[in-house]
Amino acid sequence: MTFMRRLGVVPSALVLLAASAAALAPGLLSPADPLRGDLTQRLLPPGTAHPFGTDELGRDVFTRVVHGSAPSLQAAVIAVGVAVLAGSAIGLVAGTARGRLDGLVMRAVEVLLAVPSFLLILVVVAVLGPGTREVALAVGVSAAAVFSRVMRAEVVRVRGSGYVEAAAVCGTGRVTVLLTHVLPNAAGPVAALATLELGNAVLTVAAVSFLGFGAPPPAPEWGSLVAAGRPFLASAWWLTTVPGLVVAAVALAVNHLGHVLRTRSETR
Amino acid sequence: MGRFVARRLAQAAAVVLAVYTLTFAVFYLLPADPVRIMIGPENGVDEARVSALRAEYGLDRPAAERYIGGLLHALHGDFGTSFQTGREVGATIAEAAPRTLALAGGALLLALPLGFLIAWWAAHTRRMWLRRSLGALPGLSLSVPTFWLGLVLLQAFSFGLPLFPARAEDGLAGLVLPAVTLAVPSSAFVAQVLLERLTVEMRQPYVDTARAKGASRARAVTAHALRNAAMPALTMTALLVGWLVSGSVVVETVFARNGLGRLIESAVTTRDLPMLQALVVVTTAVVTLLTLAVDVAHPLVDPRLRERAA
Amino acid sequence: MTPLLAVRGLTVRYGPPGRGRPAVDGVDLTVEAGEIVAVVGESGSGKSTLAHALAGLLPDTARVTGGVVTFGGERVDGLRERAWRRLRGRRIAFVPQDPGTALNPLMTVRAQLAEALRLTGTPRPGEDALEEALGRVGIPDPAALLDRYPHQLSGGFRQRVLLGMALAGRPALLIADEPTSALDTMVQKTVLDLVQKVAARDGTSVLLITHDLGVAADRADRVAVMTEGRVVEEGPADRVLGSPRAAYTRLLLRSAPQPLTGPAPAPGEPLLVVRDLRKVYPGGTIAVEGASFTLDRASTLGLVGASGSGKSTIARVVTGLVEPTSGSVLLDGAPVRAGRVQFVAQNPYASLDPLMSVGRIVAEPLRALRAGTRAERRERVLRLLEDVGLPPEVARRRPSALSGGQRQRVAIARALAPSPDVIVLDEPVSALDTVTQAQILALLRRLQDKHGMAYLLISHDLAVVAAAAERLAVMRDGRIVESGPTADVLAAPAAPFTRELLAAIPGGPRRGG
Repeated sequence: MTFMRRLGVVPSALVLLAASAAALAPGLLSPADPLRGDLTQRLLPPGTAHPFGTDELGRDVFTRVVHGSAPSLQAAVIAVGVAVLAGSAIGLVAGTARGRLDGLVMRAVEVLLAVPSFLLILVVVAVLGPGTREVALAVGVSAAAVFSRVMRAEVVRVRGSGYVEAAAVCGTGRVTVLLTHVLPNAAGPVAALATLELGNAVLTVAAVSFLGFGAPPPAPEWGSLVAAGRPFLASAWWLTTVPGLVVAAVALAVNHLGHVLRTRSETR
Repeated sequence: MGRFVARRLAQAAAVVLAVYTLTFAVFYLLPADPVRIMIGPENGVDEARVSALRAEYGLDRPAAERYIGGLLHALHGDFGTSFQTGREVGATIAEAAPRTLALAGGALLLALPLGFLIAWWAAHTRRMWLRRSLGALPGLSLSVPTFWLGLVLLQAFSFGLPLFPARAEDGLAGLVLPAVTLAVPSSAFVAQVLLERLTVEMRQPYVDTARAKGASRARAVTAHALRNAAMPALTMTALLVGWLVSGSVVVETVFARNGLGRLIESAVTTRDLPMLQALVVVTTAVVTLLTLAVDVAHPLVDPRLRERAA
Repeated sequence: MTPLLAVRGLTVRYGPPGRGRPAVDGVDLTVEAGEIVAVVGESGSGKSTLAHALAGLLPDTARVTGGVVTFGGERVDGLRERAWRRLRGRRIAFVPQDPGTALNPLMTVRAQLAEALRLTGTPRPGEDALEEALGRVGIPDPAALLDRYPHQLSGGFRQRVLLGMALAGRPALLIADEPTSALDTMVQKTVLDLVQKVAARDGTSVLLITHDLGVAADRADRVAVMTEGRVVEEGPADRVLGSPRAAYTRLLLRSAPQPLTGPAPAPGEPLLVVRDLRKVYPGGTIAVEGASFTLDRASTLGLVGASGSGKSTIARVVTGLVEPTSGSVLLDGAPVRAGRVQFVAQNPYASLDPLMSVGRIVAEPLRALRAGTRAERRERVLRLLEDVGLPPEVARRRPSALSGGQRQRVAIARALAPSPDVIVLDEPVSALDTVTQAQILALLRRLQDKHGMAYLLISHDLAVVAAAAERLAVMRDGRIVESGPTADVLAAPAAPFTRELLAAIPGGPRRGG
């Protein structure tokens, strides 16, 4: 691993650690109430009392960012979970069945991939309605197609490999081959894609929330925090800049760690 | 060649038809009543109003009749009337499209040269630190939320330094910041795909052959490796157009521009299903046609595919 | 007189300085004008890095860290890219390894050849200049070839085009990095003949990089033997190959496959009987057209042929991986039962599951046949590893931690596990270096003596088959064109195809004896 890359690992891990702590135990990082403000403390710039400043209702932005971690990160994780599980299952069935079922399934996947993914997400949101969980599901569904395609390609690749051929000559049964050779070897690239998709999901969930399709107002979410700060763009820069920076930092950390993990598993 | 194009055209048509069918099914055939989806779960349900609305939009007619009828009309560019405004969907889209196309075109105009330049330079340079820095650039810009980038640009160049208008509708000045906002991630996509291919191609023996003939490194990259790496980047560009249209949802919101993005956003907010269905089908059709054009162009560049296509 | 190329103490490293052994470690080498010098070494010996360094084409990760290189009396080590460009093509030409990927697939022969001529001083090469350049490398109808794309040419013609481009600038030195190792034996011969002819005609010096001692013996005036980045022996070809001084050269010479001698074996007891085998793949490709042969108990039958001759399809039919279109495969007069015929595939890098430990890999056939308890299986795995000459701790390792030869031993242990009657060996050594190749062939012989199974040995390399099989069958276009005891076939080949095959083996007369 290069020096530069190693240099990035520690800050990335710290960012992820902080974000996970904020998501799991927000009270620990910031004991204040994210919904209650102090009207005498409105629109204060970042300072010692309020590291991220306060908003137009005098609420502490740091507290709101901390409490917004849970829904924002949960949605991203759920989205990737849905995509991995649904996508892999579809890809596995298509790759093992081959023939007509394979063709049918992959055509369907192709149709889903033809729709720009953000548009697909918005379609699902339109049907399900707004909400953190709905957004998570929408992002997951739209990413599932890519996972099914990768999984199928991997299954086909591994099934044609020399060691599966060797297993067949040994007399190993089809199900055993699937469980001991095909699945473990196909899992690697799917996991690599999952790390890539997680960073993506953080950004997409935030974007959908920014548009106002996430949790309804007073509840804090990273995307909606940025949206709420828009009217004060000229006067209170921190309301949009700081939560946006948090999203960028988390996405960058996830992407960087994912990249390091991927290159390490590739060179091994 | 002709048969290849015909087959690809049929495939593209099938994909667009499938997307139409899929959206129809999701919007109108699921147990959830479209009228109820439209009113939204948060509002109380007035049965009389529901059936009145259903009759108004023709939703009381059988599904098969609506599907076929809608399809036939759609083929003539008639996507019905908006649930929300009562205006014709097709006309509304046609009115909004030019602004978004200008935005997407501007973004592409910036992104393609920038993406190519980054990838070319990273492949060409022998300085490791420069190559690494250039190679890290796409990943970095893809980690920045687009909506936030737009806001930061507004803050800096409209409010901080008043170079560009904050909410100018038309004209070139109003186009600059939104186009830059979309161009940053777009150029990253292009650079990423291109650099990945270029790195592979630069290790191919034919690059050694070219340099052994006396070609400069720049010539080996440009005339040999880039040529072989360009096709995936071109395919990427076709997909990028779809990404730009859906990305305009966020950017047009940030910069308060009217266009397809705002139309999509409001169609989702108000659950204007005919409008949303038309937007999805039209966008998908455009992307599919562009992908098709790239696919058809592919054999023109690569002689190996020419024989397979013939 | 100063030599054309003089290399003194050349050292090349990959990655950061001071870490690991240099890829090229203090190499001395001299090439006189008009001379052909062969650098012989196995993969990883540094010979290819040496070739690239001398053409100024090292990858960005490699650096020359020591030594002096003079070309035509002038120093060229440490030259800047601009200065190298004036040398490359005009004075020093380079032909890379694999003709399949060494031409730009998107450009016609004309475009690539014209580029070569332009870069070496013919500003606007006309039709006659292009045709002449191709004519010089023995292309019979240059005009017809000019507008073809690389994929439309055979490997031999691609290599000729590459040579034509390399020689377009009339260079003083041609560096050829394994120019024929990706080609069939017979094409290899024609290309090497051409190199020799052109070099003699134009007085071009050639630095020929090869792994094949036979090629070096046939073609070179002088030979340098490389291993682990160093030149261990250098001298006139006859002297180096005739009375080698370095231990490594002797090992290499000993490892070259020697044909079996002695009287033809008496016909044994038939074990595997294949009759009128025919295989047509979907789409109409006829892979095998009526092949019949018999494999005797505890014997080895070699099946030799060029790529595409159908020999691999026979391997797949006999192992049950592919259903024959018609014909029969009988083992002891009955259809083959599970476990009785085992398989060792060509590529030891692909035939072992990268995620499994060696122990689990070797035990796989035992698990499939539900043979013994877990403890018994573990015991058996250790004995099998010992049989193939691997230490017991290998059982816990993954394939990626093993060398190519070790991997092939693991594959053999796995094939041995269910005590089969027949092991099908599909190109078992073609991915391995000469020394490893000899070790694996010796191991196979030893295992046969100990366990008494029969081998069906499939290879494109007549030398390998002749060294390991007492009977052989020659395949061409899906048919067996000749078969019989190996010694008889080698001494008096009946089919013309066999004779061509035999004549094309490099180093033939010296070794065949």
